[in-house]
Amino acid sequence: MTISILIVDDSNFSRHMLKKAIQASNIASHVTEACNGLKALDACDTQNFDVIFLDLTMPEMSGYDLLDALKQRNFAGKSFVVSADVQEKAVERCRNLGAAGFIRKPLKESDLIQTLQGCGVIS
Amino acid sequence: MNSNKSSDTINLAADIVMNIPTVGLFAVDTRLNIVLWNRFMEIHSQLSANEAIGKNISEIFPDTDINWLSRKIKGAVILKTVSYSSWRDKPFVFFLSNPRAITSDEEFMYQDCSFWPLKETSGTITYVCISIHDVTEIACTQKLIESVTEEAVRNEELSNRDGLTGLYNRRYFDNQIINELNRADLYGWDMCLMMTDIDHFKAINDTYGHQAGDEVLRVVGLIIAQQLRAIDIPCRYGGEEFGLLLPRVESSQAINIGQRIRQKVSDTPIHYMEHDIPVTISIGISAFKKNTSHEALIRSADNALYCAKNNGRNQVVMS
Amino acid sequence: MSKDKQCFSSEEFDVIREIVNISMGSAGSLLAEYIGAFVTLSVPNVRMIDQEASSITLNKLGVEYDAINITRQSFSGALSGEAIFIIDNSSNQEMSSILGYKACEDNNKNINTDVLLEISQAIIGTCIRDIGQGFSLDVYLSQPTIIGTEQPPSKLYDLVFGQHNTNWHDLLLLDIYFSIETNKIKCHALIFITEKSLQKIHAAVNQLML
Repeated sequence: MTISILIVDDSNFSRHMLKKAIQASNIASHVTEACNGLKALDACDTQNFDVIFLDLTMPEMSGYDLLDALKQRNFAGKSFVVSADVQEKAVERCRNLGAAGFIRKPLKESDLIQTLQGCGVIS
Repeated sequence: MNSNKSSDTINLAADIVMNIPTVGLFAVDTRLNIVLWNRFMEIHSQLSANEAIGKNISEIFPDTDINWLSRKIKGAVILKTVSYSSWRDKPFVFFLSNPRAITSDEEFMYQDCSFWPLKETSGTITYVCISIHDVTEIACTQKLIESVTEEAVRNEELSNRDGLTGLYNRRYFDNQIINELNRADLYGWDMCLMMTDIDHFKAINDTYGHQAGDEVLRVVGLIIAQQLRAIDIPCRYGGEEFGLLLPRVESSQAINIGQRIRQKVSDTPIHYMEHDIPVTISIGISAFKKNTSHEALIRSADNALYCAKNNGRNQVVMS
Repeated sequence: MSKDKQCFSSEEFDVIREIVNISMGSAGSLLAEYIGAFVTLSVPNVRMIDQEASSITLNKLGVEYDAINITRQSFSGALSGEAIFIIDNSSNQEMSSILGYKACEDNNKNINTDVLLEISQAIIGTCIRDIGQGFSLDVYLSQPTIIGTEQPPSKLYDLVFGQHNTNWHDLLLLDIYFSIETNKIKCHALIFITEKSLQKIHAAVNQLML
């Protein structure tokens, strides 16, 4: 089953690295990209996503604000924060805002697969 | 063949670490127990490697601030990066005796230290290495230079000052008049010179004694100095005479300043022992005009001062 | 070296920013562990600057502070340059309590220089090391020095560049703002990277973009 993925990060390079990891992991997926939180919300209006990967530090709308907005809209899929900042407080704050998981940058395929399996998104 | 060479290199490195004459090298584990102690450390601590290894660093160096040191070690372990301390901020971290055993001022060795982590192959930090550089000579030379410079500046200042009042002396004042005059000439600026002396000073000395007279001079000098801006130059010109150079001030301003000073002195009886000595001063002012020489300027102010005296004292006269 | 060779394309800048971001993230979490408080880092501002821009940057920087304390720590190796750390008096004081220092006993000093040196080395050391790792470039840190205490922000440029050699043309600047324990403590790191390191960064970036 193909899962629908949205990648939200202001860095082209970062989105590129995540796409590469998804391809390398052979997960059947369709990937959409958004370069900030506002564009991400626009994309959510037109499509239902199974998984959203988002960065925390973004201009215009931070990852925290995006998580909050997704919560308000009762987002049905799973959101995962992909960030370099892994302080406990940051992780806790993300969980409280409804994130299903937290993956540390720099991203490795194994982290990706483990996290998605752990949340039942893939088997 | 290869493994022989690499073990030769290792042996060589170990030899250097243990015997390098100029650097103290030792290592601690994460609980601050000594695991390595080189020859420099043995010599300067008078503790052999056998005696040191296994002991806690706080046992060997009870003077060291253990909280600060623990944080340095913690920093190396958690942050995995080198950190330093310099003699300028902390003269020594580990008390080792001053290598200049006879002629130095301090008992301790001045030190520059560094703290860096040693990694296991797994990536965790197990040991922190500490280096000590003896910078006693550098530190002492630096301090000597600083104190000599300070003293030279002080002497320079002293040679320009009058000992009793703390105001400038006549020699400095005369030089400054010439400088300011040249500037006033060149840029077309105003300048005024004020000569003032204490009324009936001889009578004060005769009535209250010379020490009272000195106190009067000192306090009048202080009062004058307090009325001035940073660029004004007050001096003790003679026995009971003061000179005051006022750059970029024209006549009417100078008269105001003079009146203010005169009033303040007149309002302030000077206290000495059990006496309250009433004091007044007379002031003569001259203003710089193009091509005035410095002698002419002084003469003019003196003449004005003479007028003030003749007209009843305790007044300001403009030449 | 022509100006073209020194500048990066916007794609390369994107990669550099991301590497610096990731490095800062890991630096932030290590620092939080060391200090024992929550550390927030701004998104690092990464840009090329020349002498004029450096003067503008430094003059604008201190605007929010009353009196600042500044250290300089040089680094060399494949990545070389100088890092400037700036913290104001009240932040340094707060830092002093968090780290567990007793109140400053030396009456001549209003600022605890032990704290200043400790926090500046922790932050600069960790950032430089992590950035070096991010680009896979060797970096060695030198002894830090305090270049000013309780200075008015207007003196920042003078203290950092003013009285020294001005032979350089362009530098890569990483401008990072830290806030610790929700804004009680604010400080700034300016990492200036030399022209001769830029070639190595080019190579590292190209490697990563493959």
